[in-house]
Amino acid sequence: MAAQLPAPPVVGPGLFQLGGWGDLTVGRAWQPDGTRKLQATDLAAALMAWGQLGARASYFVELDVAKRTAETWTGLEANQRFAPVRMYLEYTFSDLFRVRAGRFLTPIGQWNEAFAAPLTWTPTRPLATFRPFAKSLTGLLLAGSGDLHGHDAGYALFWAPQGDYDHDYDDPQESSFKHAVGGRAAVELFPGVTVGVSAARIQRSRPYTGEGPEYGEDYGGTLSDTLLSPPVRNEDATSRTLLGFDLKWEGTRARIQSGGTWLLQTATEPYEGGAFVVTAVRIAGPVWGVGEVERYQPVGGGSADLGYLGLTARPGSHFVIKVGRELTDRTSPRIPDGWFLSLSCIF
Amino acid sequence: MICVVARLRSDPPAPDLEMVRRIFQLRQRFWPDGTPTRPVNLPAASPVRERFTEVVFGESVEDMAAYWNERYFHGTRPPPSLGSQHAVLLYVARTNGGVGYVQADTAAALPEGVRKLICVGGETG
Repeated sequence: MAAQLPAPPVVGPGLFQLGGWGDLTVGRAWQPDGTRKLQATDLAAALMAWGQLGARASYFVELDVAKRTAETWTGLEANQRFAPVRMYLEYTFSDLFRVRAGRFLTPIGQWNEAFAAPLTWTPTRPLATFRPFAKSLTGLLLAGSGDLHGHDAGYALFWAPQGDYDHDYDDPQESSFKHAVGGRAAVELFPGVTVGVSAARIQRSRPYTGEGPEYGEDYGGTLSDTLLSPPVRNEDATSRTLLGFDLKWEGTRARIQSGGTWLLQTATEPYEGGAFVVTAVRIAGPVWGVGEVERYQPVGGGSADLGYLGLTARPGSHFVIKVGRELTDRTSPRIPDGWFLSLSCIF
Repeated sequence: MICVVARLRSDPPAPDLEMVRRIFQLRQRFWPDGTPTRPVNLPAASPVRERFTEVVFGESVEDMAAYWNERYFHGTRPPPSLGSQHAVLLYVARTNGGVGYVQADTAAALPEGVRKLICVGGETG
């Protein structure tokens, strides 16, 4: 396997290619009244179009349509959205220097750029891979890759001058910001082992304080009041520093993914972040046993311990089936928990 | 033995298996002289391709599917496949920056302009 270097380029063939992916995840989601309900927690489809305009210029567009049940800091929400996740032009000067302009996936960690359901091992993604920052940015990106003393290495630097927010959530205070600048560098230390570091300065438009009315009663008092306290908006935006690391080891019979992201504390905003490890072991043929542990500290203090055990099957190259159980102590913001079944495909 | 052959405007770079790996994973898109790399594969079922994949990437053709699935989400498909080793030689001979792989005995007599970069592996079975 090869290193997952930041911001991979479009590489042909031709002026116009069309593709996409889809996902249906079913689970027993917790409802605000404290009961569980079997429902589709994620029903998503994405259409992608890309092409090369000569040897050096290219474009990429991804439009996502999703009906999703998501747990945010303000409670259980369902949303239906149509979002341009990627829409950019890129010009390649050399392998070491490419310029991308438009809307692109935020290159923080390895897995925001490999977020699509057919690529993931678990039905729900680790919080640290998406919670502290927006999935996409609109701005400029410089990227490149090459040989570093016999090791594959790459970098991406981004500058997003205008406000944006994560379209996965209806509430724009989730991951909202006015300005962001940062990047990621990664190197394949050994065959199959890639490590990366990320850093960014993010100016939130509605920073969190972690203070506010408690939501625990809405869930029958079974959830942590602290973790479910909705954020209170400050009027003044402040800049925050985001740091991250990622590690991937890929063997023939076992694979490990790990990473962490942290938004550092400021005078007006509390610390937020966490780290995770996902391990996959091939059981037989296309069937893998998957385990995950994560510790995440959301805004407002308290830490959540999360876990997952399940099976993932990749019969052929176009379909992925995941079944497993999210294990939480019900003080976790990663709700719903319980059993999940996910079917996803590439087309 | 499998030989990697290419058509380049300038002198070929020093033999480097890592570079071959990057080119066939479409992560190195330009030769040192700036010419775009244009790699081609043999069909997935070809024993020569199976051997090449095993020696260069340390994986089977099937196991490489995960890598290409990931790259698919960034607008990258595997290098195109040509039906035979002679088709590969013909393509490389006609394409500036073209690069492919053939068995050593096929590479014994190369078309004009095509040069051997590196030979790897043993018998192809």
